[in-house]
Amino acid sequence: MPGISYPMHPFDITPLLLGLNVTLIIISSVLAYFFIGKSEDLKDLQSSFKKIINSFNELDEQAKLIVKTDLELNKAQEELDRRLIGLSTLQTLSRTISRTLDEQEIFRKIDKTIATELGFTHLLVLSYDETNGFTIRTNLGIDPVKIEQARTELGLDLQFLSALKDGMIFSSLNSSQKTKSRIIQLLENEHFILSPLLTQRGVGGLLFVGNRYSAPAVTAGDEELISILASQLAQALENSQLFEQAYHASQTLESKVAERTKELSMALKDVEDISKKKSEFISAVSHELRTPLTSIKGYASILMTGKVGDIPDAVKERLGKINTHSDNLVKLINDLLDISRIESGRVEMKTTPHNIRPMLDTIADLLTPQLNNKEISLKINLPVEMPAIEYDTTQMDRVFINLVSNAIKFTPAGGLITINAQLNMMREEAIFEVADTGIGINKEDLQRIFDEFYRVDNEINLKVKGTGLGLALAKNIVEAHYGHIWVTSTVGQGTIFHFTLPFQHKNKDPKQKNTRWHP
Amino acid sequence: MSTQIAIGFSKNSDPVAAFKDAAIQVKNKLNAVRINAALVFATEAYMNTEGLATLHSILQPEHLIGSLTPGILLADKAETRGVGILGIISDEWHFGTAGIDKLNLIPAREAGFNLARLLVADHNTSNRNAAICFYDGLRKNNTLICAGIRESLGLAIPLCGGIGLDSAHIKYTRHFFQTRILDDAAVGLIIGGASITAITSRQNWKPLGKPRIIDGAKANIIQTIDKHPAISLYENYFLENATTLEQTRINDIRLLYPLGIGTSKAREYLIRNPIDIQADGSIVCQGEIPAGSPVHLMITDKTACRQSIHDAALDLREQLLGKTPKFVLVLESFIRRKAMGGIDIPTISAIRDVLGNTIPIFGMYTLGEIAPPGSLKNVQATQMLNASLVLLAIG
Repeated sequence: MPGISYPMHPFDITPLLLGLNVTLIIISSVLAYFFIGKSEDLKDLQSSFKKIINSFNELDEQAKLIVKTDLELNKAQEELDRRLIGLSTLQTLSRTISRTLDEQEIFRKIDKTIATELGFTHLLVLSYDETNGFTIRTNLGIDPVKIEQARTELGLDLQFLSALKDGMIFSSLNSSQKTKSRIIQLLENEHFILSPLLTQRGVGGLLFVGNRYSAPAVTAGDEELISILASQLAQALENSQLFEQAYHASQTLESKVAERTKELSMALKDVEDISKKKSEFISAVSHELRTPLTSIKGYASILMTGKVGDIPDAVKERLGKINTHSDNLVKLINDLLDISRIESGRVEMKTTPHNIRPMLDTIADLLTPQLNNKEISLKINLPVEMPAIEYDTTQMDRVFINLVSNAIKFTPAGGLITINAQLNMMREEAIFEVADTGIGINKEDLQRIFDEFYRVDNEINLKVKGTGLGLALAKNIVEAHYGHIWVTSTVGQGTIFHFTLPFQHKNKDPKQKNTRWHP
Repeated sequence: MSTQIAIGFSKNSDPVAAFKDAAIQVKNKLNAVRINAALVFATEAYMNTEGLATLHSILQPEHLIGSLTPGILLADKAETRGVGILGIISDEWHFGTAGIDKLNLIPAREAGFNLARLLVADHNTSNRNAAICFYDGLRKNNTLICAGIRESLGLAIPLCGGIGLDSAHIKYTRHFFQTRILDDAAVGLIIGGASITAITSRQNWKPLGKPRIIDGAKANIIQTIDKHPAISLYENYFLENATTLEQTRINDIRLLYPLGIGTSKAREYLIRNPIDIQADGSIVCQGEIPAGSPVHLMITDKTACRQSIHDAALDLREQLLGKTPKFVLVLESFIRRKAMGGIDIPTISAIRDVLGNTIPIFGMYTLGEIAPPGSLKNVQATQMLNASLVLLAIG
């Protein structure tokens, strides 16, 4: 069978082509394999790149969240800082204004620093009263023409005043658009707070703080701070006004007291003049009376001796009465004269240091008959270490005699009279007591017992005559010795006369004499 | 041979009286007729010429520089009102001072160069331990002033300083120089003869969100980031609930979230505060911006701030090699203070905890800081920093 034969080319390239084809196929396969692989890598790479881009974008989104949160935190921190600074400023200001009661000074303290530390550039304080309306007290940075306009306009706005009275705070944060626009137009501050200054009498003024257009808006915290400042300011102003009132009242009172003191001084001078005239009168009259009385007493005595002829017994008896009454009258006149002299300082006390015991013993001897008559005991109790006391013997004798005689007079039979002495070494004085177990003295009478001519209204005084000068004289004498005398008594139980005598008179101020004194 | 340091402070509401009070405190502590040098920090209300004259009449300082600041740091407190004076008398230290004003009329680098030249001339000796400089912070590219100073002074001289500002409004700066108060100025004090000098600086900011690339920058202005106007970086994060950045309190935002620029040379990000935003959306920074660098929005917190203070104090102690400095100058960014919630005490107490309670501490809050990044070993890289803490110890 004839086969198909192909003519053989002298240069048969078929095997070569075949080989080339195979090679190409192999290379293509390898390349295809390689490119397929690379394409996969590229896809992976692209996918990874996309992932990275996405991650970056996610990172950016997260960053946005972070900055948002951070901004909020910063804002909160700033607000907190502002509050802290504000509170610290308020605390400082509060301390400062609470220390002053001068209204002008209070307004001077509300200065630029305070406004700045509270976060505001403009500040206005107006005081208010119904008569004058609003008055400018402090202005930082607001146009005076604008303030004048605001002052007039707001002062006439009853609705606004009523809102202030109710404590309403106006601000760019919470006021209505209409109110906000009006206040911005009046005071040219876009961000503002206007708070009333409320006192017990009502609206005392207003406090306005504000910032211009580029500043941050006010916050609720700002409102709170400004309302605290306003109330502190109002309180300080109220205190200063109360102080002013109290000061005026005290000035008026002082002037009234001065006026009355002057009147009283004049009255006292009148009394002193009258007292002096009285003493002079008593002195003059006493002198004039004593001279004829001496004559009367002398003549009566001569008549009684019978040298000018016998006289009947009845006449003798009457002459005796004339004599006795003359003696009483002379004693009265002498007492009056003594009181007058001591009061006017015309009697000089001849004081020397004495041991008081002998004088008291003599007085006891002298009064023994009267004591015996009424069976009254007299006891003298003196401290063992009784120091010498400086006194005028004649005058001090009269004091003790007067006091003991009085005690005998008002002590019933069988009673007891005691003379006691105590020492006050601190004050360097002796305290004497003449105590009795007599009828005692009423409270009302105790007040006047040392007055001249005052006699207690009782049965004994009705029976036994007296001048009412004895205790007055004793008082004058004790006071002339830089001492004091007083009395205590219980009705039905007895009376005690107390008086003090300093050991010595040196270094004593003469003005201390006659000083009213009570234990 | 001795050197004595005294610090006086007053916040008397009358500025002249405050200067008088503070100066008398210094005089009483130093007990000298005149002092060799004074460093004065004052807050806005105390930039007072009459007050400065009072200081001169009391202390008669040979050299005096100072700066406006929003706050003064003292050994036991920080004050946001008042005037503080650090007085030095020494028979071993020597000083030189210089001041130039009208900075806006001179190219920045030249201004820095001139200031340093005057400083060196006044100091008149080659023994220089450290230089302290303060200059206007509102000038657009402050990096170049710093560069100018270093060019003239020498790259190896430790340099630190700050940019003072008003009470955080960032509207103006002012400086004390001898008997004058200068506007738009730069002032410097050079100290020689001391046996130890240590400087440390720390920032404590962490990157936030995805990195972006500064693809358009010129000097201190960032024009575009990721082919968008630079401000879009802030808009992306803060425009969620506002239609304009003004509504988002941009002034606060740009301070609380500065820019962190990644550089190949340093491990830490270079922090830059945006100080202005231009109409085309470009961001103006205080210092030079390297184009092509990655940029992040940065964030910090109280803990990080406190940790950085502690780290800085430890580094300073390490540099001091057991020696006790005569005083520590603290320059702390007011932005850090803001980030710490306005609490001043941690800075002071952390320094005292590490360095001891008896070392005089005097400092101020700044808008920008001049120091080597990190430690003194990086003195060659001294530059304008932002949002950082700088401590200088001299003894």
